[in-house]
Amino acid sequence: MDFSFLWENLTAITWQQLVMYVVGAVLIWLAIEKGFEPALLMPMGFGAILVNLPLSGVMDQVQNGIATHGIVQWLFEVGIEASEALPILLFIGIGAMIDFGPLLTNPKLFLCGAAAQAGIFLTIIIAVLLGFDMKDAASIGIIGAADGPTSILVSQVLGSNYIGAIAVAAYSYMALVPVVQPFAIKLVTTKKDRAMRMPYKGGTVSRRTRILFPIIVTIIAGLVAPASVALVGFLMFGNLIRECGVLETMSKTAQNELANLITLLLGITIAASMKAEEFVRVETLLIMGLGLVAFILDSVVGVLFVKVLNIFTPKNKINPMVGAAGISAFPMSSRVIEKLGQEADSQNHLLMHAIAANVSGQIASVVAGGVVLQYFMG
Amino acid sequence: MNNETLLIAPAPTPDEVAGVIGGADAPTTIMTAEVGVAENLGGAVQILGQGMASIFVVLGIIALFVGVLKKLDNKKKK
Repeated sequence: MDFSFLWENLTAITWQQLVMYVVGAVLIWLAIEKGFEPALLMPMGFGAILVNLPLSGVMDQVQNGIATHGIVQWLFEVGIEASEALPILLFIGIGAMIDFGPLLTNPKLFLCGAAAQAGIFLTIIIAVLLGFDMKDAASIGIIGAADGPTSILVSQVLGSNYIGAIAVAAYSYMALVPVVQPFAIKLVTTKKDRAMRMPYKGGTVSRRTRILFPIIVTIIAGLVAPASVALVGFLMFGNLIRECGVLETMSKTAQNELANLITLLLGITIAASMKAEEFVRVETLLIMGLGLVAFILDSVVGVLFVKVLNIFTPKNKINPMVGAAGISAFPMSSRVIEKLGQEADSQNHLLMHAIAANVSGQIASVVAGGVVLQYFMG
Repeated sequence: MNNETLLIAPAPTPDEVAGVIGGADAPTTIMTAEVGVAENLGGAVQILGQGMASIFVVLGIIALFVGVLKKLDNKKKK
């Protein structure tokens, strides 16, 4: 009797697939042991192993003339490739989670969110200089949005060849914000800058403002950058559910069950783009490097922007570090700013200001995603 | 340079550039590769300008609206 079928697949494993098992194991380790974005890195890591088993049944295969359909490939084709439904639907949950109150009490901080998106566009330039074509460069630059679903959506719509690497870079660096941002901020600030205090006036925001806000944001973003409507619209729809006050159960469902379910599926689905032949190449390392550059540039430009703004508003100065919170990695970035402020002066409390800039970055990053798409749609 | 031009004239692929090597003419090979990057660079700079301008316009207008709503709230309170 021939038992070779037992080890046939073992001998079919390529070295690239072995590399992917290591990548998968590292992602799982980062998620479980280090607590880095576990909700996404764990499914992505497991998925990386799953799709790279020889003749994996989770991907479409044709063997001896018999075609089988794989569930992960189907999820990818339906949930991401055909409709971008998974990343977009996730925005309902994100919108429902965000309290824009601190930002609404200090609208000046909207500008911090806008400035901190510069890293996206500067990274596109660097990627082009490294030889990537425009669509791939734009997809790589959007890692600087510090917003995983936006990165996945833009790279998918633009048909980038590197969607797997981009997703891994986006989520890894979001998890590494507490390491990356202090380094970037200290590059462009002095201890005196970091110790600058900002009084927090607080104040309540009326229900009318909270309800009108998501509607106004959607209309304005839709008129200036129509391609951003799917992203901004669903983010703001989630926020309207939260703020309207009559959909309490739906708001909680969006924040918990919906967000968790989609995150779970998104993580394992994105693994379909992590097949060894597409992932194990030099460009993946370049993309990881460029993602880091994007996060650093976001933070540096955010700080420098506030420094310039302070020249024009000497009576109402902002701590320059708050500018770096304009990236949308919420709430990690706000915590980093609070910690750095207290390191410089133990009585310096910047958390609420940083949160305001941080949630502004959430809006700005989805607008940035839309603007990049708009450019290619002409 | 408009977007259409950029989309019609993408950077040469590594294969295309490799093909030009067969011309046994180093300056031509270098120029072919560099023209693609230069064109893309123009596009990247354009996207930087358009992108940042759009983001500042969107967020600036939203900030103005929020400022107006805040003032209306304050008036109501008084």
